Amino acid sequence: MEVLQSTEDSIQQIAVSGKLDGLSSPALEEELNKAVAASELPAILNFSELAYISSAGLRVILDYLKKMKGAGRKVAMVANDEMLLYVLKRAGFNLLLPIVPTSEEAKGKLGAA
Amino acid sequence: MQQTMRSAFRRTIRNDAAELQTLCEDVCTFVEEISVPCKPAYVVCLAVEEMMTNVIKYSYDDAGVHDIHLDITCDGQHATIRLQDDGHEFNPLLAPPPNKDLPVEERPVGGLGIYLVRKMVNDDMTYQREDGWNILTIRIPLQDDEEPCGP
Repeated sequence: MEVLQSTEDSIQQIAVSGKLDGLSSPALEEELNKAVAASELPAILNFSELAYISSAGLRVILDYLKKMKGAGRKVAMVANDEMLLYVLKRAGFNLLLPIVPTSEEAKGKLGAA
Repeated sequence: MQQTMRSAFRRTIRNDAAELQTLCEDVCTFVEEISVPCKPAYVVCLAVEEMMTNVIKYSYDDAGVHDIHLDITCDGQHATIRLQDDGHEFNPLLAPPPNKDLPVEERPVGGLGIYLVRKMVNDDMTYQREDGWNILTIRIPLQDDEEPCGP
């Protein structure tokens, strides 16, 4: 699992690649906590290079979304892998934040396109 | 005569999170090596991680060391996962589903793993309690019209 962070067009971009399982999820949690503390900007969680997520990863994302909501910050997600989308939808994440196939659409959802 | 490829993976681990992680890696390598298509390969990896994590976290009423047995067989039609633990009686088929209608700040952070696996295998799961063991069998269809996962 790898996490890449950048700021682009007044949006905090967080790209997560590889496998998000019981082993790697605590490391993502740490990175996301830093990301919550580091900025006031809306954020895009980019999962276009994420190959696997289990409930351990979903819990970390849920916790992150709660913190972002508490901070009054918007989040959009980029995901396009069929299995990943299936898991995210089954877990009801599509009801919690916009999940779209490209960064451009995610920017649009954040009102910054 | 029709050849049916059979492959098997068998391992016993202790109720230890680090041992489970090594096991999960090895299971994913196993399904890749026998060219299981992408989707069922994901389901096999997820089922092993979720169900065994659950056993290790919640199944034991003491702090002792316990063995958990995992058996995976693939016969070309199905991957069958058999999990055996001596924790307290727990039938995952009777676990309540998470409430997805709650707003983000009210969502509990647990209960998703079992639900996801059940949905992904269309509840093709059987549970038995025998001589103090929980025995869970999960069957995953292996469609042969799909390409195996690339590296």
